[in-house]
Amino acid sequence: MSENGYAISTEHLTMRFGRKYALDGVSARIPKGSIYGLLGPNGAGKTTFVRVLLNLITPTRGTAIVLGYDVRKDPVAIRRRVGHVAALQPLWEWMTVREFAGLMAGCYPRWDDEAVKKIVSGVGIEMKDKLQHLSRGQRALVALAVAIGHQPDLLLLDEALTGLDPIARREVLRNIIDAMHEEGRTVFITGQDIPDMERIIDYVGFLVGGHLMVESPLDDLKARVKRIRVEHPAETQVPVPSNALNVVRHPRETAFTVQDFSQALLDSLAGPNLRAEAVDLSLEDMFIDLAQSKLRVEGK
Amino acid sequence: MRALFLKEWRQNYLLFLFALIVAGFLPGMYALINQTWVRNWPDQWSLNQSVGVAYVVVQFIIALLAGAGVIASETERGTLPVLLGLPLSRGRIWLTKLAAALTLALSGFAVVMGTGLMVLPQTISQLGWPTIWRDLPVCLALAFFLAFFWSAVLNRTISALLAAIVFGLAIFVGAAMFMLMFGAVLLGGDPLVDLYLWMLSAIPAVLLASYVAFARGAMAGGRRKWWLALVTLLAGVFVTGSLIVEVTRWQTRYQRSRVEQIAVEAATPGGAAIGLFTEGDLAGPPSHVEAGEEMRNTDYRRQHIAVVNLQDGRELLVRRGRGLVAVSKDGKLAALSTGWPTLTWRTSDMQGGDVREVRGVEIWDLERHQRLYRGFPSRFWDKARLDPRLMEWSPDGEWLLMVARNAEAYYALHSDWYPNGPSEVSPFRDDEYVLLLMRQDGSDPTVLECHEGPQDEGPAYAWDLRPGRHGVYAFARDGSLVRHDLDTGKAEKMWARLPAPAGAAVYRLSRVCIAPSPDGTTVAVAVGAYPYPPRPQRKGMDLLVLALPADGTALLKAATTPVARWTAYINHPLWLAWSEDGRSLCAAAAGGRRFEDRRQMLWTMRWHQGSAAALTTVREVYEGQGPFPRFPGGHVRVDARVDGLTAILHRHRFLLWYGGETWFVDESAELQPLPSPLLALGGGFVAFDNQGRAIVVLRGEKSKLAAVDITTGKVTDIYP
Amino acid sequence: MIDRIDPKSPLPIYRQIIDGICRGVAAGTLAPGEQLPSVRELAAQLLVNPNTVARVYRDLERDGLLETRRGTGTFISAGAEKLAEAERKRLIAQKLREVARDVHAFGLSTESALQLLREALADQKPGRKQ
Repeated sequence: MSENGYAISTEHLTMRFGRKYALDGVSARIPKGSIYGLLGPNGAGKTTFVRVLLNLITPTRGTAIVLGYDVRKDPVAIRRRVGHVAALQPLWEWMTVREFAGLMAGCYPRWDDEAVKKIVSGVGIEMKDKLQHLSRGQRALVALAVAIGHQPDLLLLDEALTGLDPIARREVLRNIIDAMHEEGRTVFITGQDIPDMERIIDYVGFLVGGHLMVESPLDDLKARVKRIRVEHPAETQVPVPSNALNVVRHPRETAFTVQDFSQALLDSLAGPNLRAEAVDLSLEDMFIDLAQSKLRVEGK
Repeated sequence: MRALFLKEWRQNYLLFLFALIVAGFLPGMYALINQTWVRNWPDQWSLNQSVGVAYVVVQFIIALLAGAGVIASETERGTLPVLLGLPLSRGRIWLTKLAAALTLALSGFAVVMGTGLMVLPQTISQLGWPTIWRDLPVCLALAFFLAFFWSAVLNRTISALLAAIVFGLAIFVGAAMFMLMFGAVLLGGDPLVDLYLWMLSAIPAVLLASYVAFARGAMAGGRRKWWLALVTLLAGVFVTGSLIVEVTRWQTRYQRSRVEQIAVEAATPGGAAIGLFTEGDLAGPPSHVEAGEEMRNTDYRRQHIAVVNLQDGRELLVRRGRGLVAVSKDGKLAALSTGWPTLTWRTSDMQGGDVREVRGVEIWDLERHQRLYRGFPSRFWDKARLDPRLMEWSPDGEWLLMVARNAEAYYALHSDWYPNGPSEVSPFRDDEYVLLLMRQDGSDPTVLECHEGPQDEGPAYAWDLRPGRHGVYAFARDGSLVRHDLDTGKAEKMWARLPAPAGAAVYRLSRVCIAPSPDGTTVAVAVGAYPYPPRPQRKGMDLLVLALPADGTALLKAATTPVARWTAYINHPLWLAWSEDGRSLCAAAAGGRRFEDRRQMLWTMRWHQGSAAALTTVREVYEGQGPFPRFPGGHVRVDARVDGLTAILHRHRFLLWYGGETWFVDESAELQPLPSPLLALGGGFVAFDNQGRAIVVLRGEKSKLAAVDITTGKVTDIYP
Repeated sequence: MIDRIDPKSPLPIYRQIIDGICRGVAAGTLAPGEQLPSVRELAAQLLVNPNTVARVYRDLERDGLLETRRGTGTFISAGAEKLAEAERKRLIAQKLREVARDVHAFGLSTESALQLLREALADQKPGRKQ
């Protein structure tokens, strides 16, 4: 059901609560078969975005197409093929794992009981365990298992890693990767745990204050955004590109982050008594530089 | 959807458990109290009542709990995104939750009420059967749906619970107050809608509002949800309420063909117009407060008052409700008052029955079909609004008179549940009354205190019938006869109070009756008195005739203590009536001891004016066994009872009507049976029309008004 | 063989995996003809995006280090040994470039640096303490 190869595509998606804009003109493209990570600080609008995709809330303006369906017109058709894990993975505590899985199985057209069992037993959970007796990490696994259990074409995992212990985080990551064996399955994951997310995502989006600041394949981004370090004699003013971020000037060293790195740029900075080198940035560093600049621009 | 339904049940199974526990607990507790502590409980009836109330309370708890947690619990737990993320439309989710909560509540009801009806039926039947099958389910449904609504709007189960309780009580109280306050305004044919119908109308609105709040408002932010929900709620209540009002109005519209029973309130001499009280299953004069369940439970929306022209049967005026009608003597004016059963306690006398309140009065000019007044003067409201009876126009139609119970005195006297009688010493045997007077257009509202005896006596007030005078005779609180002059506003004492016989603490007036002669120059007054506290020795009874000279002073012209049998026998109401020429006076009463040899008696007397004014007894006309007599006398009073004694004075001829056997009798002659066509009638006499025909109410499957020519026996149907 | 990647390292994951495999081949821990885990297994093991692993395998196969046999899996190619030599050199050269940068930054003389290098190499001989 995909016309253009995108699992999710939004156009100027805006969500307003009272006077606050949770989402402001977000135009995102999530390709099919990718693992897309939407990063952003608290309150950036990540959860709101996920909720709009499932039509839990109706956007103020703009459109969103999920798996070829318009969220405003066919939300039920979307939800049938989307596995959703909400932030903090709320569950009905009184249920057992089996009861929870049973509820989900009864609501979706497809169900793979074996897959669910396999995922939960991987961390020692039994189907007869009561949800309230499980640890936080185990609950997250159960939620994920049940989301995968109905064989969705798209997984929407909101804050999937947030607040989990390292072992649980690993298990979640592992199961997400395992779930990718299905051809064409797309994973959309939001969070703040950038290093862990960086491992598995191949597309990244930065959401800050409701704006989608960056959207790019991860490799592209890593190639474009680098930190330049220039060693120079004292009192020398090194020309810094206008769109450079996080410019730090020391007496004999100047460092700045560029968003459009090229070898030519590096060469242009070389000169007598000037030594320039480019350093790869981790995604977290990139994000901090980009987010801080935006926040500064907005006067916060 | 089924999976979700089962999940809801499993989530809330505790409620069902609660119902099971209560179902077993209440009978057990009842048995325990019954066995061991019955000494401490006033009586079985109180225990039954208390447990019956407990059953009702439990039902409400179940209804509220079932509804309050449905949606709010999901918001509380944070599972709303999970729930709404399921591939079901919001409408489906809402419906599934509603169905689950509803079936849960219903099964709880069934368990509790089922065991209650099987094990303790005597407690539940205390509530009364219309309540159990109509009012209670509606209130429970409203409680449930309110809790469900608030569950969709608020975020916590507890808040939803409390909001439902507060809101439900507010609706109940608000609707009751609305009807109490605006009942008078609604006079005039507007429908009085039952309380339970208002609550019923709220239910679809509440349901729709809860759907809107959930489907459009869940997760959309607090303000939007509230706004959506409350707007829908108000709009819905308005729409469904109006719908119900319209349907009720349409259902209970007056249809001449549906008239089943006729009881006549008032008629003009000459038969120009008449007031009817038409209603489905009540037979009996409505101005008498009847004991018995029928009156209380009769649907007042089926009752109408109508003023009908006797000549052609045309309706001049129709109003809904019970009430009184008074038509002026020339048939020009009509006054209507509709009453409403109030939520007051029973009267102290043994006859019981509910007390009615005046809701308002309408005055119409029938000739020009124009309303002159509508309302109820506030002066009247403060002083007297209970148990209105006996409306009457002054002879020239200038003033309207109503008698009502003195509300202040009434509440003072009956201030506890089981009154033992008046707490203060009063010459009156019963409660105190007031006369309410106002002009045609409602101006000059006047309140006069007076005495009127219990309902079956002759009227203890009367208009001064002399032309050009506006006065009312009445017994004052101290037992004296007083004439209130409406033009001057003064009250003149006509006759002082009967002195107490030796040994009696105080005398109470009883069996009083005032009857002015047709030209108003002579007033006959019957006054009885008995000691209070009651003593074995008998009371006094005086029949007085007062002649009123033109200068207005009263002169006692003749007094007669009737034959010894009066004193011996009369312990029941007495009626007086004059003939048209003012020469004959008729008195009717029942005698004999209670439950033993009761007799009805009728005396005629001649009144001789002149220097040696005297009353001479002409004849004891009738003596016979039977129930309560009613003697309308004169022209006007109407008896709708088939088996009563009715005697009409008409040019010295009597039309005696008793129990299906009727006699037309000449005062001097022997009793004779009526011509055979009249024998078949057996209805109630209303009046003689100006063509000399007797207007009667014929009883059968349906009542009707007919005119009967007495001499030929020809019967003509008039109405409906 | 590579068994974990460092998410905090500035080196892209793709680079780290390639380096890992090459290091293994260079050190001899991955012999020619030895089977590598499937894309999915390796991705799950390393907790990285399978597309990345797939790209690694594709590129290494293009470079001749790996070969894929349909239905069986991915193996170290026979000609890996030859490439290993070049690869070893490349890796060492990469590391030495970093060292050289630091030497220059700290202002050490070339002779001192070479002396340190010789000492470090000497430490590597079997029997000497690390």
